[in-house]
Amino acid sequence: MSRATERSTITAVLRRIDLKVRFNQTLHHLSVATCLVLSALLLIEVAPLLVPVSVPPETLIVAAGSAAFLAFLIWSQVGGWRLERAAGVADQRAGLHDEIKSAYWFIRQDDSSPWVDLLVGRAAQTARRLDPRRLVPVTIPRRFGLALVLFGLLQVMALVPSDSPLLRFAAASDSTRFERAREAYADEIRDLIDGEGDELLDEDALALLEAALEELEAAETSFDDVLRDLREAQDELDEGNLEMAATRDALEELLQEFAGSNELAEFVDAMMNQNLSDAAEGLRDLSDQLGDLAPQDLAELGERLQDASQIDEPVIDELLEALREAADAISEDRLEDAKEALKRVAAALEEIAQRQARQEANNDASDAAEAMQEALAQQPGGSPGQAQAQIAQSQSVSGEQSDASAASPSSEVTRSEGSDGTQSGPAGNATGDPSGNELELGASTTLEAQLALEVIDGETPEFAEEERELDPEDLFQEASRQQSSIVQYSDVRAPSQYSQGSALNAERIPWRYRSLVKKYFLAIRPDERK
Amino acid sequence: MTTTQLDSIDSRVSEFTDQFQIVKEEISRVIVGNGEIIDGTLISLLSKGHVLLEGIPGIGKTKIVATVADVLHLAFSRIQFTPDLMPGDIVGSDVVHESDTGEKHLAFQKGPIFTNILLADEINRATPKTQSALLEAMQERSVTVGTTTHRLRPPFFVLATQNPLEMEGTYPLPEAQLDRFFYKLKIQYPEADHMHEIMDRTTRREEPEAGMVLDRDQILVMRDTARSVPIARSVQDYAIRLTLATHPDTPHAHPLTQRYARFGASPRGTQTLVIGGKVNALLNGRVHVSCEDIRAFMLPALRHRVLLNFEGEAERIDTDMILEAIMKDTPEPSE
Repeated sequence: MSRATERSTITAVLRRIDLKVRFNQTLHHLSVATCLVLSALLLIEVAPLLVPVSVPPETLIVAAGSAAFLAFLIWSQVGGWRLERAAGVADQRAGLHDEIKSAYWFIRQDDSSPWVDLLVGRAAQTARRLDPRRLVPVTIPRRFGLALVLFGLLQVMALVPSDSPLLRFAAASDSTRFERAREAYADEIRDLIDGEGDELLDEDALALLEAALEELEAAETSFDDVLRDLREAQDELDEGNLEMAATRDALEELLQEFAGSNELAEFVDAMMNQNLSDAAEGLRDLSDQLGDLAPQDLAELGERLQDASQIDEPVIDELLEALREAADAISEDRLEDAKEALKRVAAALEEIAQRQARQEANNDASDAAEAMQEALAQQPGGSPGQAQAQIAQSQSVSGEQSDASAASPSSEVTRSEGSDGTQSGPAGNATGDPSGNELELGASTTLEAQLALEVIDGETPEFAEEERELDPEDLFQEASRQQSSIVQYSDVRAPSQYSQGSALNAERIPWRYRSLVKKYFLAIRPDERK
Repeated sequence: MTTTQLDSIDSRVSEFTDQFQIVKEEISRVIVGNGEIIDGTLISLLSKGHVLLEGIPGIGKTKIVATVADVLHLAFSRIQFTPDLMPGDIVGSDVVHESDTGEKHLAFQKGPIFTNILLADEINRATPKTQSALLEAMQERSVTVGTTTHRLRPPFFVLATQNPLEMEGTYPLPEAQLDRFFYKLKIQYPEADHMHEIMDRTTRREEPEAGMVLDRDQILVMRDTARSVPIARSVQDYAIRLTLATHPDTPHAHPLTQRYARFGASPRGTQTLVIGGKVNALLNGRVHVSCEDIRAFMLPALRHRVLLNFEGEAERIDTDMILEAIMKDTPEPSE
């Protein structure tokens, strides 16, 4: 056999082996690509069940995977034969102790010597005995088994009913799910309107809720519009809380005037139990028994009514006016007029009770609206980025509050009130800064945290620099820390007034904190009667 | 290339294998076990190398050397190294010689080094000065006395023995001299069945003797045959990578080398791997060197060429452990 024949024999065998190796490699790569694509498909099926995410269409995944695989396949085949690798595979698989590899290296070197020719000759004989099919058999990668399992899982996922509870979170991933979510929220708002009753809810708020419902029912409306209506409705629903808190305080003050009166004992008990209806009933009973009272008791009752009517609480003006008339009638011995006046007081109380009941209903509706806002803000199908941005915008104070974390829809304490439709001026530190940091006008504050800090006794840090000449802002903070003012209100009012106004106007104070806020400012208010 | 030439080479390869086997069998008539030691010794002989045999007293180091000398039809000398041995006692010296006419002149008196097989028994008992007298002879195959260089007749094969236990009054071989030994072979205790065989052979009236089976010319032909074996670049690269892995300050260094080695094997170590691999390939009937051949005698080829650092010495690290890790972690070429 000639030298050229031996060399061509080796080369031919190596080419066949290389083809087999390439085929097996392609199978391997195909199995990896299949597993990757199937994993991606499974992921886009499962992910929306776990987290609200928008996922690319399945066809895109398959197309991208196929394109990437084809590109890789072409790239891996570029460069022609790899006979050195084939020689290594042949040596390794057939246990040839590097015979083919050595022979092929000398063939490539075109080296010729008796020893090399003997080596090549022997290698050619060995190569002739090699069967590439047995040496490099077609190997189905085990990954295809994994691919089969993934495919099975995909089929199982396809069998899961679309209305399964598991798919609740998936509602935002496509238009169908978006519509389902839209209907669900419309039902919730409908329940809110119907459940609370038209006669209890604030009319404006009711109108806004109905507007939100109409928008939800309109197919072209986005969740952002509904979110805006809900927020406005909630503001309307919360509107009466401040007045109700003031009314409660006024009634408490009124109650103090009546404390200790035997004639008004039933009324006082009912008032202490915050049962205004019973209190009104007690007043009616008193008016009926007015003629039976001893003159001395009648006079004392008249004095108490007179004192009580003198308190300065505009929110219960009607009630106080009736009290004043009753006191005057008793003092002038006009018992029939006094009875009528007391019945008007009872009627005023009942009206207050009704207002309170309505406000409680409003508050419940407000809570529901707030919860719905939070859920809507999380809806990806409703453009959550826009919703978040809208919330952040409403919470920002003249553009100075840009912290994204403060824009969280669940952060009630930093929401803007905007009751008058304007957002004026920067929010200030209206309640003092216990950390002793310099008060920075215009910076937004977290009122909830400030208030919480101030109600914890003994946890305010020592004020080490007492001797330092304090500016009005520092004085105000120091007064806040010590729970009692050491300076005249007028001295701190000017610098703090702006901050108070900003805080109340620019920051949205949750209704449950409003009485606390009010008490705080009432506590530091100067006694104008003195 | 004619078929006759190829057949000639083929027959040389067969002869090489057969003759090696004959020598080994003849030695085995006297020496029990120690197959690797015998193989290593003969491979060194056929690779133009020298062997350092290390082992505790009484396990047959000198016997192996003497038996190797017996089976080869070569001149044999033995030098018992002692502290008072002088270089001149090894290489010879000029002495005053008186002719029949009464004329006196200096004549070179050849020392025992002028032989084919030299047994340097307990080489580490001689002083470094005397040990170094062997340096030129081992590497250059010549001896220089005064201004005259005397060539040693090939084959020149040094078989040195040393005892690792007795450190008192010994002089460890300098690194330069260690590097000149092709292999460092460690003789271990014989196993139980081998001990029986040794007792049977050595406690009778007549001990077995080995006959001469290989003459000088045959050895020289075998040497030539061994060096003719071609080696592919990838296999040679593997040998180089194994050697580089013993160099502590190179990027190729094995982690154990970096930690415990002070110096790695020299290029002479790589030569040893390659030439030893060629002989091993022939012994396996192949005309090419495989990675397996390179690995086969890597331990005796490199164990005396890797020098431990202080940490290695302190932790009593065996260089064999480092080399085995290198063999395990250095991948064979795939192409």
